[in-house]
Amino acid sequence: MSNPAVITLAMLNSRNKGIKRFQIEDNIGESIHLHVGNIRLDLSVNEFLDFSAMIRKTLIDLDLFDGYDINIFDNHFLYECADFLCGLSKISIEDIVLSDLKFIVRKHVLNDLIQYRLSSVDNTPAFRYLNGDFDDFEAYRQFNYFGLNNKERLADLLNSLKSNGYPYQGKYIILFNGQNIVRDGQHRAAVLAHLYGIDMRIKVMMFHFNDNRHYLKKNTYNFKSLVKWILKKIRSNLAVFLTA
Amino acid sequence: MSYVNSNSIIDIFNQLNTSCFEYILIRNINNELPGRLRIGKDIDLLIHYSERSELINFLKTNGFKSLRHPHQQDRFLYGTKIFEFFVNKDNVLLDLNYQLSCRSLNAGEWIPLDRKIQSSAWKNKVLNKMDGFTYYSLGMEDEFVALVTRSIFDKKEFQKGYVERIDTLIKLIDVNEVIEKFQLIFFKFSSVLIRMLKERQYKMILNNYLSFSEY
Repeated sequence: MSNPAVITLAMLNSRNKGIKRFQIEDNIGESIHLHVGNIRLDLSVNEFLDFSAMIRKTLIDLDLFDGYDINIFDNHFLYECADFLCGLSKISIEDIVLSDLKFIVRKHVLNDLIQYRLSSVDNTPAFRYLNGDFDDFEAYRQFNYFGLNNKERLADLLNSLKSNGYPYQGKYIILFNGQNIVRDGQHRAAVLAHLYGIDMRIKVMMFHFNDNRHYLKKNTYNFKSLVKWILKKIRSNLAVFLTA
Repeated sequence: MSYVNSNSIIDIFNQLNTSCFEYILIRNINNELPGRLRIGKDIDLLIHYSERSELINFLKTNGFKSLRHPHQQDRFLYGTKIFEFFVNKDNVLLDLNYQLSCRSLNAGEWIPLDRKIQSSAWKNKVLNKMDGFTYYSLGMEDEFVALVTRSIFDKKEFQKGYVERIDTLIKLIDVNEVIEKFQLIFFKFSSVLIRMLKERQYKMILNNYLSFSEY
């Protein structure tokens, strides 16, 4: 019996490191599956939430964030940069002009081939949408928390920044050292640029790492994606050919 | 609006009925068959994979030719067989399904419904006779399960034609049998789901399912 409603909550698989498979799946109505290598743990939702709270407390005790409270960081951002965190040596607050920042924009070159582009703030989908260019943003594929679409997310943020200012509750736009690329806070930057102009000087949080694994290698990523996409097409066409 | 010639549809079903092949018409939403099937719309047939080669020969002998299926590059998991399209000169478009399946919420891969549901489909198939149109369909409980499953996983909404048929069937089905089958797909959400269907809360079902946490 297979559950059609399996949602992968997190996946950190590796071919090279000790644990080849680390995956958390929500099998809706059934259980949460925690795969660690060849072992699978079945947890109820409550057990999983307890487990998750325990992990969060452990991360707080480890003080991974140079004295900053882990709760000020977005959960999805933490998940995305988890692989680099062991090399995090310092966090600083720095001044920067919005127009000096670069933003990662995902472009669908073909229907299912995604390539990264680096854009200025006034070329991000969110900024363009806020300034009346409605073409791309609603369909722009990005991570949103459950129950929120692109428009609602941006509207909530616009209201929050108008009411609370920036930064609110210690939540800064985040960069990694060595590159002026926004790693978390693209929408906040777009809203700030929309409200106050692209020459606004803002404070950002800079993560300093003691290695360079965090560098965004756009061309390498795009090349690997293209190769994977081609291989996938070959594999699926081969499957069809062999079935016929 | 152009419709497929109903005589051609009746004719191919008559040929299937007198052949040695078992088949089931999986759904006939809005009673489109035989007289109101728009050209380009397909007819979903459930077929035994073990009879595939013979059936394809049968179809080719009867003027059908193979056509590229729009889902043929999708991922098919757990032994799900790829769907196949066959069309004849009268635009009768057959979509051959070798098992009852649905899309996974994970990445839209196709996966088969539980083996017990597959067996039940064949065991409980029903012969229908309607104004000269004779065909085998799923039993009511299996059709109900298939419609709800397709709405949630494939369509991600309850469309009008589906709602009308579900509303009709819910008064006729053995609810306990349906719950038993739902449990093979929706697990602990099954009883919530049947209650929501009875209360016609169609617009809320998908959200409630995705945010369900009582397990």
